[in-house]
Amino acid sequence: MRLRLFTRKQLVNKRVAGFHNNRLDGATDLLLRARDASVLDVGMNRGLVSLEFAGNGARLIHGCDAYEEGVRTAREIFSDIPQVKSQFEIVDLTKGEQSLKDAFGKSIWEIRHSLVSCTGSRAATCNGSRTH
Amino acid sequence: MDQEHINKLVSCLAARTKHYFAYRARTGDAYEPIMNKLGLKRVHYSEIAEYHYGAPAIVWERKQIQSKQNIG
Repeated sequence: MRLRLFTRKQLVNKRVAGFHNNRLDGATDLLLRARDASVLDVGMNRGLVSLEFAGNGARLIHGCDAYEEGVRTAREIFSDIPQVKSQFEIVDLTKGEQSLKDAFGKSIWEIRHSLVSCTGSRAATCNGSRTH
Repeated sequence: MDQEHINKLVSCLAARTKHYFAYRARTGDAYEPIMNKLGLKRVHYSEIAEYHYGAPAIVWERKQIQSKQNIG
């Protein structure tokens, strides 16, 4: 699959047209800063927000979720996008930060991601917010 | 997960952020002191997201690379 990068205008049009991913609602301008970025998507669900970052030029994407089916879907989606280096793992963050290290290995600790997105429903759930 | 556990996890993730840290939490304001301590400055708080989803999208940025461009 050839990944098409969005221009700023296209991104705005996309938002106005109302078809951007809900999880980034209120923070979509982060996508404009995704070019060449490394992204850690915590609570990534099926990786659609990660895909948005990839579509906006992110070069490295790490994603995690406790939702196994979502992680499998994300891996499948990104297997068609070889130009973006990605790794998606099943992680139960209730077990703490060590669970990230266990799932991704030592490599994730050596990277400081340009962008860390914790906009997933799990993060919201942890704080008693409504999920969607 | 209790609040202390969550705060520790959020702090850990925020500390590992090079440029931007985005978080959706109803208790976002409570993280302000933690983020400031980690050298992050809040650059965006989406009330629209709070209205629609009950939890705002909050974005923090590392102070040293703070840009003039607005987020949101």
